[in-house]
Amino acid sequence: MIDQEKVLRMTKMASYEEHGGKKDMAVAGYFRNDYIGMQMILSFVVVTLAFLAAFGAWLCFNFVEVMENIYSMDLVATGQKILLLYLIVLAGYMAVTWVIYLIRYAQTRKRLSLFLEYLNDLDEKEEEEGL
Amino acid sequence: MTNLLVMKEYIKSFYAKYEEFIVPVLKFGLALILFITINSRLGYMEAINNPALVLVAALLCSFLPLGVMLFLCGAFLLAHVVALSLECTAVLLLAYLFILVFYLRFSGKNHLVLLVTPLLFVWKIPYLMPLAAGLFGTPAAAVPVVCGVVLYYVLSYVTGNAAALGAAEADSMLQRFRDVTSGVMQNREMVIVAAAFAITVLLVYGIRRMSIDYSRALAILVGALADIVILLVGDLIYDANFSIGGVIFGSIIGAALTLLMQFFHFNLDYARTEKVQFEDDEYYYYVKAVPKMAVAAPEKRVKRITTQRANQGVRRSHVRGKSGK
Repeated sequence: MIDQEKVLRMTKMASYEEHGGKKDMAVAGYFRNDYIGMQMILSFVVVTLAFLAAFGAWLCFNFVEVMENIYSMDLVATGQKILLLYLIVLAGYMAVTWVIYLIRYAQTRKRLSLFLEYLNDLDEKEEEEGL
Repeated sequence: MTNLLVMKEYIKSFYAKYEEFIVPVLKFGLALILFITINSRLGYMEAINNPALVLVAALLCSFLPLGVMLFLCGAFLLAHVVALSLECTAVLLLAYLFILVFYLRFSGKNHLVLLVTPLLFVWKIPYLMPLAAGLFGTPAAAVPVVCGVVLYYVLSYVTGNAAALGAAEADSMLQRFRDVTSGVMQNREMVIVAAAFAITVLLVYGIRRMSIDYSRALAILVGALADIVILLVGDLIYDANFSIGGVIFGSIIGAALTLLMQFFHFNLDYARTEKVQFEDDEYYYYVKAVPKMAVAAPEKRVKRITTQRANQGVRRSHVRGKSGK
């Protein structure tokens, strides 16, 4: 005899698993700090590449002026300014990454804990039927 | 209104029944429109102007995720711009970098917004996008809208100055790069439109989430008005040469289309048919879960105002009353 309520619950669980559940499981496979740390490393790479590209574009844009003043400008002070700008951009981007992925991890755990709760209920019900 | 409601129910049931086919067909249609628009407006590389290639690419997009459509559109654009000039390619790559840093890195769910925003500019109804994105999406949808605006204006500059860019062989490469970059960066219209659209998305989202009557209709109205006001004030301050009639008329059309979309809203009403497989100790289950449809069956109620029996009772009492006298 097919238990209709069980089928309904299993269908909902299978549907969740199909639509995003697998991704959630992959995320929940990490500890929170590991997951966020991994995302921050990725962000570090992206923002560093983007900053280098933007700096390259700025250099090309102001090539003539830079070449004219290269001997007269204080290279150390200019380098420090660029480094400071990079650090500010990096810090801002990292902070945004941290907040976004912290929220995302919490949401994932919440969805997955509901799924696991359903799974436990189902197991308990099957055990009761077995007895 | 009743006819529209009935039509909505028909579309709902049709969508639930043939969803497996409708979604790929729609994706195919969108991809085809996008590739044809790119080829017709840019078209600098002859090799990818081939209709067979466009059809194959659109077919690929029909059954692959939207991310593939985004990637292929990016590749088509890049190929055309490479054929035009290397300086424009560098600027386009910077625009791609902007999209990567602000959109792709954090969100992968609003590809449709990013794909359709430049297309709506081509169709002269870009004002639809911030209203629709705020109404059906999240505040994060403001990011792909802004990215779409930036992409459109970069491409618009490239197509607008294609002849000059192709002929300016005498200038050095750095000078041409400088010209293209300053042409794009100093485009005040782009900055004003991007700011207006971002504010509109947030405003529409904020109002439609409020617990007031007709919050969605109100959100569209306020969003459209805010969009017009921001664009016109920006035009006054920065002298960006907007067409006032175009902004007002386009916003009205955008608001009307958003209202129509709101009526046929697919997201919440149109639950998907699910096909799932699972098993327990006793059975294998192959379940097709079809969403319940609130089909409004035509209900006919006949109200009898006068019947013979009722009239008899009235007559009797009337007669008794007379005899009693």
